[in-house]
Amino acid sequence: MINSMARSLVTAKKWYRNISAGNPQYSDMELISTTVLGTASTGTIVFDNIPQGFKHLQLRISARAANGGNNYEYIFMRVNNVSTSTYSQHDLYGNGSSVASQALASNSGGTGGYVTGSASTSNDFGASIVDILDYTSTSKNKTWRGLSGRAGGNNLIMLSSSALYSTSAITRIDLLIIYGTLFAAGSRFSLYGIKG
Amino acid sequence: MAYAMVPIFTQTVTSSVTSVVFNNIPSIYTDLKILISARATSNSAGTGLNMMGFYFNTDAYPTSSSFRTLFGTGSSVSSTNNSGYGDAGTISDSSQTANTFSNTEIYIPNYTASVFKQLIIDSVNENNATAAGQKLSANLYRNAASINRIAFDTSSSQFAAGSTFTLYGIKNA
Repeated sequence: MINSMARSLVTAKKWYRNISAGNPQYSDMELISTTVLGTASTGTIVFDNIPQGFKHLQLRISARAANGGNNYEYIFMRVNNVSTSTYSQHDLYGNGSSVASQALASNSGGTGGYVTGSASTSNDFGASIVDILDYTSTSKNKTWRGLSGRAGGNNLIMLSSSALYSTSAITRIDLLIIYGTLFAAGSRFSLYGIKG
Repeated sequence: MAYAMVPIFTQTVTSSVTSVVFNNIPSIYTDLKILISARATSNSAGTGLNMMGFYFNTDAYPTSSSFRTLFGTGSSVSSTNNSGYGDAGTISDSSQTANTFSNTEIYIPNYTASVFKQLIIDSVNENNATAAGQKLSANLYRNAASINRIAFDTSSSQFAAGSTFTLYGIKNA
């Protein structure tokens, strides 16, 4: 769990300095915080005290479940620690042979995408990118768009959308594992701020 | 010092408008990226089915241009092709949950190159009910001119106040 963004921001600046030493590349997409699990120690990743100085946010996830015994792992995503049935979610997904679309209204969370489940090939981490636009707006409900998937058996690719029906600015994001109870060691969760 | 991804300009709709335009786009980047959080003021195509269009330069979109989509509605899926205009993705509309805006990314590689332009788009709109759109779209713009202007409109007639369009320039070196 990340308790504060302050320390992570320092880490981000170091990262950019290291890059600039060899090949100067600066961007208005900044790393706010990243967590890489050294052990399968948690089923919940928390980004708290999210800075309010960006236009948009982006999450980048490379993860798999350590347990649960499923082919895919579904990442539940909650915002501002809201756990009431005030979310909705819609998915467009394919598995290599068929495609479908599904809806979940009045749900208790949205999605951070599907990644690799513990029953799938070992050392195989699924990928997910989630874009959260206008996260500091106090007049818009919060929506996010995700593209996630994995291949190599038990294939799945998904374009997803989620909403929290609240106009509060986003200051906290929770990513929770659903089918298992632990994310595997090596799973990585990075939050970026994008200027506008 | 090279900047890899730079915000060029953000258009924020303060009262309903029929189009949003980026003029005088600088030609110093390799690719363009646009992030859109938008809502339409009416519902002409059906809940979750309304779309945004785009037009380059002088708005004369070649009839030979085309796009392919993969589209989910929350309950069904279809794949279509069409031509004569640009598909900029799906947009939230007045029949959907209030104060809820669609979420779209448009990527335009090689926008200054003297070649036809290929675009990729992923776009969603949300609704606290079954009907909402999820769309992947590939567009071919059959014109080799450098892009210096992009205009957006919507099949639902107007963009609602609060809609935002942010244009980014991306360099590869």
